[in-house]
Amino acid sequence: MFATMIRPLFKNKKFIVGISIFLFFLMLGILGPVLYRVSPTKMTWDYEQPPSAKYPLGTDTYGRDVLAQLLHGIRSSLYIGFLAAIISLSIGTVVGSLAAVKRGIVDDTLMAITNIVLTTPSILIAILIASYLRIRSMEVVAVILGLFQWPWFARAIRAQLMSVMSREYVYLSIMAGYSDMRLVIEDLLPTIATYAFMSFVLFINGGIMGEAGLSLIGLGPTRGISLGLMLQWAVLMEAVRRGLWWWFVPPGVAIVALTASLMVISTTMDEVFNPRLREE
Amino acid sequence: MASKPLFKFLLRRFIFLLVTYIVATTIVFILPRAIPGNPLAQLLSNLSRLAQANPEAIRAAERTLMAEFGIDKPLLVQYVTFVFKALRGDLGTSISFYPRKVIDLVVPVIPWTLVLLLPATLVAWILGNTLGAMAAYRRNTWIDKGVLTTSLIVSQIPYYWLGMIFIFFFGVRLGWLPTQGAYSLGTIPNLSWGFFLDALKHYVMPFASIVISAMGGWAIGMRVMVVYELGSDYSLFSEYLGMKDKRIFKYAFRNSLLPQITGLALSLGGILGGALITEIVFNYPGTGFLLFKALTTLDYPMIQGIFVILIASIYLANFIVDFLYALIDPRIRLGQEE
Amino acid sequence: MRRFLVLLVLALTVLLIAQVTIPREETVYIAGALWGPATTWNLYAPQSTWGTDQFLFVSAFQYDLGRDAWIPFIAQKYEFVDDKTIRIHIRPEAKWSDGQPITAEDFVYALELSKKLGVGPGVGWDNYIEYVKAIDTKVVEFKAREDALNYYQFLSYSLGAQPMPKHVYSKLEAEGTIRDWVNDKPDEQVVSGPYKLYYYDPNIVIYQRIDNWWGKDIFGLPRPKFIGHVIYKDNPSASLAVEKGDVDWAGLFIPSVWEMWEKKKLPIGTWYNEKPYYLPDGVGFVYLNNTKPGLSDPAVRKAIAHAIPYEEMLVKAYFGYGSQAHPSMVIDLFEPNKQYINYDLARKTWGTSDGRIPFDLAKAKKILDEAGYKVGKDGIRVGPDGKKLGPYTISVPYGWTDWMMMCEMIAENLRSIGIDVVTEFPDYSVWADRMTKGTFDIIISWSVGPSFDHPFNIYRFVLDKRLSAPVGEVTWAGDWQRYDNDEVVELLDRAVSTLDPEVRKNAYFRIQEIIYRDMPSVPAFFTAHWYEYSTKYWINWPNQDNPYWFRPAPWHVDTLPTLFGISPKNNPQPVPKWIETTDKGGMGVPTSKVFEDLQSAKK
Repeated sequence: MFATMIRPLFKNKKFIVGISIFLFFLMLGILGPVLYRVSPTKMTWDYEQPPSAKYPLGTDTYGRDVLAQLLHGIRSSLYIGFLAAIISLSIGTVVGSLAAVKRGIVDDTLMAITNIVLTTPSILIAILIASYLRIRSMEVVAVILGLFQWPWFARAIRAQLMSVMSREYVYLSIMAGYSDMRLVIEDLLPTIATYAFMSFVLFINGGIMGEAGLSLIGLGPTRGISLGLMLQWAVLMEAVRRGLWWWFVPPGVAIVALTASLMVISTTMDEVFNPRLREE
Repeated sequence: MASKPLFKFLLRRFIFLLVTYIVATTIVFILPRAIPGNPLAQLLSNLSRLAQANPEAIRAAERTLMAEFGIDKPLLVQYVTFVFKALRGDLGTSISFYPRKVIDLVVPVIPWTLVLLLPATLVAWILGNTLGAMAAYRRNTWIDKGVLTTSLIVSQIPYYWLGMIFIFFFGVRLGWLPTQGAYSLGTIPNLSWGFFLDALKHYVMPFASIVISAMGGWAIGMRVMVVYELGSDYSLFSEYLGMKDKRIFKYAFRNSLLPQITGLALSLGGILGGALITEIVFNYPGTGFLLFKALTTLDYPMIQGIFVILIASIYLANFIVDFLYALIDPRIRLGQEE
Repeated sequence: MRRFLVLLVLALTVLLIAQVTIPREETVYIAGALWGPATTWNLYAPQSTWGTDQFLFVSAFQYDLGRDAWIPFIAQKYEFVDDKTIRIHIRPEAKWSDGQPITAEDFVYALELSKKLGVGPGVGWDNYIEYVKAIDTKVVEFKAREDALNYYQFLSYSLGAQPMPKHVYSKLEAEGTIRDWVNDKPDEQVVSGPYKLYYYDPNIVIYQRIDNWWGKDIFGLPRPKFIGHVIYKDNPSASLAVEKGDVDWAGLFIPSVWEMWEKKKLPIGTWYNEKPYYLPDGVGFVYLNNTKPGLSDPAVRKAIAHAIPYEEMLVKAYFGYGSQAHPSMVIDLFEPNKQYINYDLARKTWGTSDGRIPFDLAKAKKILDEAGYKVGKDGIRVGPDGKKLGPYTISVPYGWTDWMMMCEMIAENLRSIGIDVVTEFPDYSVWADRMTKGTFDIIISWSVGPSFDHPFNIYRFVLDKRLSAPVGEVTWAGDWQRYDNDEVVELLDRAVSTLDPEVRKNAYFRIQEIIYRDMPSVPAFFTAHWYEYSTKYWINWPNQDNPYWFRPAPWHVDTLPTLFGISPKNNPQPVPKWIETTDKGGMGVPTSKVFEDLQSAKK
C-alpha cells in the first residue's frame, strides 16, 4: 500500500527536484561538519577575508571560517526545525484527536485553548518568552517555536477525525468496545497520516524560519551556530553595507533552499494526494 | 437589520477576544517577574560606569530606582497598578530611557511603521491576488507554472534577507539608493519637496523587499482557492448549464476573495509589529526598531508597553474581521451558526 | 471654508520652500555617545541625555586630567578658610541663559535638592561635607565633615559643584514634578553652559551654541555652531558612518581602526597613530570570586595571574588597543601616577623590569604544586582538602566579542595548568546579576579610571569591603569579588585624611604589599578611551602631537574644552590659552597647588 502511495510522487518532476535539493542540504548538514573539520567558532587573525583556497567561503570579523559556520549552521537549523516540528505535531495530534474522540467538555476546553493560542500573535509571545530566558539552548528555541505552531493543525485533525468517525467501521469498533487509545491508533491515525506528514514538512519550515527570525532580533540560541545566528552576526557587524557578501549570502541561500524545497515537497504531495488538485 | 443573533454573535466574539487579550497581557505582565534577575541592571551599570568616582551616588540611585519602579511592592499590587494605568493610556516608564514614558516613546515612531507597511501590505495583496487569479484562470499554461514556481520560491525568501540583498546590490554595489534610515542624516523631518524626495529614495528598498516577499504567499493562496472553486459542484454545474468560462471564473474569483480579505485584515492588524526585522536591517525608525532596542536592553516596561499596543491592534483587526463576516454570512446573521 | 483654503495655500508654500537642514560646515556630527532616544535634559534623574552634563551645565571648576589641574569655569577662584573649609567665588559675569545671574544660592539649592531626591548633581555629598552655605550672593562655602574626613571627596564635591537654576527648579519642586520633568523645550531651557537643545527626535539630537554666552569674553566661544548626534543602531553602523565621513567626532570601538588611514586613506585619526591608538580609560580586571572554594586560596589566584596570556590576548582579542595593567592597579601610563608605585617591591615580587606579572605557565604550575594541588587523572588538580579546582566558569555578556575572545584564551591556559574552567556567555542582565551579587566564579569586568584621586579611587573600588555586600545581595558600588581585609580599609582612610604626601604614599605602598600577597583579583589590562576624529570638516583635534585635552571622547563628562580647541577646516584658529596651567599663562590650577594651599591654610 505504501509503495502505491509513494510511486506517483516520483513521477512528479517538481517533487524530484524538491526532494533532491532538500536531501543535498540535509547531507551538507549531516556530513559537512564531519568532512570539513574546521571549527566554526575558532577565532583567527585572518578576519574578513574573501573566499580563497584556504577559506572557501571567506571569514567573518573574528576570523571565523564561514564555510564551517554554514555547515554547522545548516545542521543546527535543521535540528531546531525537526525538533520544533515534532513538538508541534505531537501537541497538535494529541489535542486534535482527544477533542475528536472525547467530545463534550474536553472538546470544548481543548478547542477554547486552541483558539486562544491561534488568535494570540504567536511570534510576539515567542519573542516575549525568548527575551526572558537569558540562556537559550537550541532545544529551548525549538520548544518555544514548537509551542506556537500547532493550533491550526489540531483543528484540522479534529475536523478530519470527526468526519472519519462518523463512518461505519469506526462505529463498529466502538460497538466492539475498543478503548479510546486503540481506536485512535488502529482506526483513526492512518487516515490522517498523509495530512500529518505534509504538516510536518511545513512545521520544519516554520521552525527554520522561526529560528532565523528570533536570532536576528537577538533572541536565538546563546550557544553554537545556526543559520539565523550567522545572519544576525552579519547584520550586527554591518557585513551588508560593508559589502562582505560571502558572509550573509550563503546562510540566506541555505534557508531559502531548505524551506523552498520543503514547500515544493509539501505542495506536490498535496497535488498528488488531493484529487481535486491533481492535474488531469 | 441588526438582528438579535448577529448582536449575540458579536458579543460572544467580543468577550472571547477580551478574555484572550487579558490572558495575553497577563502573560506579558507575569513573565518578566517570574524570572529572577534585576531588571534595572542596565541602568545601574550605566551609572556604575559613569559615576565611577562616586559609590555613594550609585548606592543612592539603587534605592531610589527600586522604589520608583515599584519592584519592592507585592506582585498583586504591581499587577493592579499596571492594569489601571494601562487603561488610562499610561504604559509605565521606560527603564533604559528613564524617565521617559513608554507611550511618549512609542507614539512618535508609529507613523513611520504605518507609512512603510500599510502601502506595502496593500500593494503586495493586490499584486499577489491578481497574479494568483491569473494563474488559476490560465491553469496549466506556462503562465500558471511560472507564477506558481516563482511564488513558491519567492514566498520562502525571508523578507529581511531580500532586503539585505537589495542593500548590497542597489545600495553598495551600484550606489543607486541610500542604504539605511528613513531620510538623510542631519535633515530634520519637515514638509518640503526636498525632504519628501529624500524620504522617497530611502523608502524604495524596504518597500520593495516587503512587497516582493509577501506577494508570493498571496498568489499561491489565491490560486489554490480559485482552483478549488472552479472544481466545486456549483462551477461544474454552471459549466454543464453552458455558462461562459469567464463568468464562472468571475464567481469563483469573488468567492475566493473572501478568505483573502480576512487574511488582509489580519495582516493589517499585525502591521505594527510586522516587519520587525526589515526595520532592523534598514535601520528604519519604526515600532519594530524600537521593540528591538527594548529587547536588547531588556527594558521590560517598554517591551510590555509595545506588546500591549501590538496585541490590541491584532485583536481589533480580528474583531473587525468577525464583524464583516457576520454582515456577509447569512448563517450568522440568522443565527444558524454551526 | 476660506480659512481652510488659505491654510492649504500656506501649507503648500511652506512645503515648497522650507528645507530644514543644519549647515554641514558649522556642525560637528558625533557618534558613540548616545544609543537610544533621548531621555531627559534634567540632571535630577538617574541618567540624563548625553550633552546635558557635557555641554549644558558646567561646574565651578573643570578638571583637566592631562595636567592634573582645575580650570575655574563658573568659579573665579577658591579660597581656604582653614584646612577643612573652602569658599568658591563665583564669576561676576556668570549668568543663566535666561539672563539671571548665577548665585551662591544656586549652588546650595542644587546640592540640597540632590540630597532630598537621592539623585542629581553631586548626590552623596553629605557623606563627606558637613554643610554648604551662601556667604553672600557670589560666595559659597563648603565645610568637610570631621568624622568622615576625605580630602579627595571634599575637593571633588566642592570644586566640581554644579549650580542649578533655583528660580526654575523651585517652581517645579513646589509642584512636585521634578522627577518627571524632561526639560525638552529649547525655549524653556535655562542653562549655564555654552550650548542648549535645538532639536531632537528618536533619530537625532542637535544642540545649538548660545552666541551671547556669558563666558564669551573669558573663554571665547566653542567653535561649532551646532553639535548633532545621530542615534545609530549599534556600534558597526556607527563605525560605518565614520568611514563614510558622516561623523566628525566619535567614541567607538572600531576593529582594526588603523586600516581607516593606512589602507583606506581616510582623513580619520585617533589619539596615537600607532599602537595602542587610544588613551587608557580604566583598568579591566579578571575578577576572581574570593568566596568560592579553591579561588579563595591566594596561591590559586596568584597562579591564575601568571596563566593569563596578557600580550597575546590583547593583540588578538583587543586589536592591541590596551596594554597589560600594572599589578599595583595604578595606571602608570600617566607620568604623575608613577610616584605611587613601589617599583622596587613590584620588581622583586614579579621579577620583571617594570614589575608587571609575567605570563609564565611553568611558574603557575610551580605555585600550585607548592601549595599542595596535585594533578588528578583527568588533568585537573585536587587540593590538599581533596577538592577539585573547578569546574569554574569564566564569563562576560554575550556579544561583547572582544572580551569573549579573551575569556576563551584565558580558559584554555587555565586548563593547561590544571584548573577546570569553561567559558560561559549569558545575557547581559544575568551576567550583571551574578557580578553584583557575588555569585560568579571568574569574570572580566571594568573598574575605575584615571582621576585626580587616583589610585585611591581604584583601591577603594576594588578593595573596600564597605562597598561590598554579602553574597546574594546586590552591590554596584564595588568590591565585587568580596575581598575582606580590615587593614586595607584602615589604610584607605589614612590616605585620604592626611595632607602629608609621604603618609599617603606609604599607605599606598602598604596596600601594594597586601595585594601582591593576596592577589584579590587580577588587574589585567588598560581599557581604551574610545575617541576618533575626522579632519574632513574640522581640524585641530587633540591628539598625541597636539595634546591639549586628555579626555577628548565625546561621551566623557569632561570633554567640553575639546570644542574650544578644534577649528573649522577652512578657518584654522589657535587652541585657547586658558586651557594651560597658570605657570604657562593659562587658568588651570594644579592639584598639587590646591593641596599646598590646603596645607598652608591649616591652623
